[in-house]
Amino acid sequence: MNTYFAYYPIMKSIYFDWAATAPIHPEIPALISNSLLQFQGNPSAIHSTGKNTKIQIESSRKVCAKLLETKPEQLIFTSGGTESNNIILSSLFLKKPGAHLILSAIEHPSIYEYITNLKNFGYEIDLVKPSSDGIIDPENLNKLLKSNTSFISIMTVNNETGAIQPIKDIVTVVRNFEKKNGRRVHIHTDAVQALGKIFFNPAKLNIDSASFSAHKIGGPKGIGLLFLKKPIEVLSPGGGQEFSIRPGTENVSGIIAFSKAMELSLEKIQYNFQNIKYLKSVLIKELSTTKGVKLLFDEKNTKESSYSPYIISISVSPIPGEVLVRILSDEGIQISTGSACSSRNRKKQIRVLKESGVSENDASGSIRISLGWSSTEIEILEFCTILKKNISNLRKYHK
Amino acid sequence: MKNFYLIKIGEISLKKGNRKSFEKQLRFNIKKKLHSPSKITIQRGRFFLESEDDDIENIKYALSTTPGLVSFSRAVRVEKNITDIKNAALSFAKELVEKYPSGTFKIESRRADKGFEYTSYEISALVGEYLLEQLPSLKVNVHKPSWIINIEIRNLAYIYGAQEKGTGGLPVGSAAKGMLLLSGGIDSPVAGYLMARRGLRMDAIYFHAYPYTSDEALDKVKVLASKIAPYLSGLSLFVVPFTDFQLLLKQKAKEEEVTLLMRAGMVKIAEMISKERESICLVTGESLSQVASQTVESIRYNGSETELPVFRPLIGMDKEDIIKTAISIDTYETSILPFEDCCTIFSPTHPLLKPESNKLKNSFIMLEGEKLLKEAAEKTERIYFKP
Repeated sequence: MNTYFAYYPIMKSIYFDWAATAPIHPEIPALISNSLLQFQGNPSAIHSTGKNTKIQIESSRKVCAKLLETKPEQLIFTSGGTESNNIILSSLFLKKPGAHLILSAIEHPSIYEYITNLKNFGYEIDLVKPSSDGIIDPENLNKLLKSNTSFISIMTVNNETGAIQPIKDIVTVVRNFEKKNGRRVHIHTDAVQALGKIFFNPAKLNIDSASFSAHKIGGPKGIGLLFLKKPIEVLSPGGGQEFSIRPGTENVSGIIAFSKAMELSLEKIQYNFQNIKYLKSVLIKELSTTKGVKLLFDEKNTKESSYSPYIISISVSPIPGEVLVRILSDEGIQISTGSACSSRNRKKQIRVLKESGVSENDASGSIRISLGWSSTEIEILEFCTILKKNISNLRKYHK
Repeated sequence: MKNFYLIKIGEISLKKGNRKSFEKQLRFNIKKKLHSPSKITIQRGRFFLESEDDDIENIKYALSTTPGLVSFSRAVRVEKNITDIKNAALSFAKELVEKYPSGTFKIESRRADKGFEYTSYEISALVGEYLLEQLPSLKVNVHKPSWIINIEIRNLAYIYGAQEKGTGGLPVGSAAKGMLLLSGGIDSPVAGYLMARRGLRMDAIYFHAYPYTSDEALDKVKVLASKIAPYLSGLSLFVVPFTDFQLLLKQKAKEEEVTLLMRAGMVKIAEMISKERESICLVTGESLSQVASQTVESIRYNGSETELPVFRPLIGMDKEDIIKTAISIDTYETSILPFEDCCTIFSPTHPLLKPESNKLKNSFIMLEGEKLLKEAAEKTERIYFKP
């Protein structure tokens, strides 16, 4: 058993669903518990109990700012990645309609599902599709830029495919266009799957906004972060907290825990990356010889390392992915699937894989293995053994 | 007793020689649902319920979901003298005026005891006049009143206001027992409800093909079972592990025959469990030509695989009407939750529409699936849902 999970008897299993949520880091629960007791005042109050809490929030913000190399006032605590994205997308309703927006076709639903309402509001929207390797070619985006383009959103690491988008190159293309065109373009990126996993520096990337979430890096659920290069006007009014960008009494213990989780994951980012990269190579080596397994995004097909080693997407088609997920769950292995064979929302569920060049059949048989810092080689090997056994059983019925 | 209700029965009152057994069954079914001590007396087409139950909503729910009664009203009973009747009517009127401040009213009287000193017309006139005196803002409208106060003169005088709708039909248990094939869809809960209204007691059976069917799909069926349980006067749900038989079909059956042979397997297991449970008919939610397995030819084959009669109460119903009924029994929202069973994996792209019964019967024999079906029946789990 993974020694890490010894802390959590409830998770006596092989947990390979880190992209959905990472197990809470062992240092976090006590920190939350203590902070709940220690910082009980309302941070907006003017008495000392409240002020102490406010000081603590600002100190946590500074920790995050240092780690992300931003100014503290550029970081807004939210309830998670979805809310961070929502703040940015909903702010578009406060602007004059008629401008042109570009979103990637593989955005998270918290962005993608805005399309209808934005169109109804009067925006013109283009979707930039990735190539068959799941990666967006900046040149394709360049072709879509128009004189009235005002907003672009491209996810940094895709949560289903693991594809790392060339944000830096995309920004260069957009900024060059900006100079010629003379109109500012807001560049947003959902960096939820990037934080603590791959190098991500908002200032160096020269983006305008980015979304993060604590529970993907070992923090608690319900706390997120929004990087904003410059303040924006937002849709939801309130009591002025978080620079009025995200009003509402702050989730103090969440903020404290998030900054700690960020510290813990970023200080080991390089070490963990190399370790996970190795684990991925072990996994791929094992699975490449397994009959009935198809690696959906192969590093070999691209020029450089373009996929997060933390997310591995395979297809066991014609075995339905969800069936395999249930069987593995019964055997103590937690993984996930991007698509469900029977769901009415099937089209929505396979959108990202389909747009990333995966056939419908392969998408139906897709499973996502996502790793984290405590994953081990022993777990990978055990996982492969159990996976192979079950695939071999199921292939009797699914040929 | 704290609460008193007058209950009107419908179809039971048309019964002659065996009427008492229907009445007894209805009395039993109502009492089964009430939490506190209660007494039900029966008088010529009327049931009178006295209950200690403080929870009026529970009483209303119990009465509105029990097949066999057409309507019910909270009532008071007083001695047969006009002063007491007037006072009782006044207290009802005060409640109703609060509810409909600018409404109009009407008094409807019925004199079963012809010995009473006033005729029905006179009772209505006297009480109406009294109410107008006491509550001057009231207005009479005998054609389209906002509310009605009913007065019935029997052994005592019974006064009641608004009538609430019951389920109608006959009391569950007055017919024999059947087995409802319950899926997670819209139709089968409605089929169960309709047969319960004809007095059929039922168990339900669900075929669970885990891991092809999710546990969420099973949970959904449990919710549906709990929602129809009040109408069915309680039911046992049998959850059959069906995966092995489905996998046998996947391996051995011709693709276009899979759905029909799967349904035949379901019917066979339902029949096995029916025998143990003394059920003597099957109930399904089939509606003619709704899907490929519900063509006349498919239904003919399916029915031929069991000796039990198969009741299909939705056979001639329009989908819209089925949905309306599903909404009225509060199963619709659960049925449309997206946890359909994963039979789609096993469903052929081009299923047979006009199967030849004999050919399919032969295909079923060739499967040699009897052992698997028996094992599935043996491994079946039973879950009871209270009415």
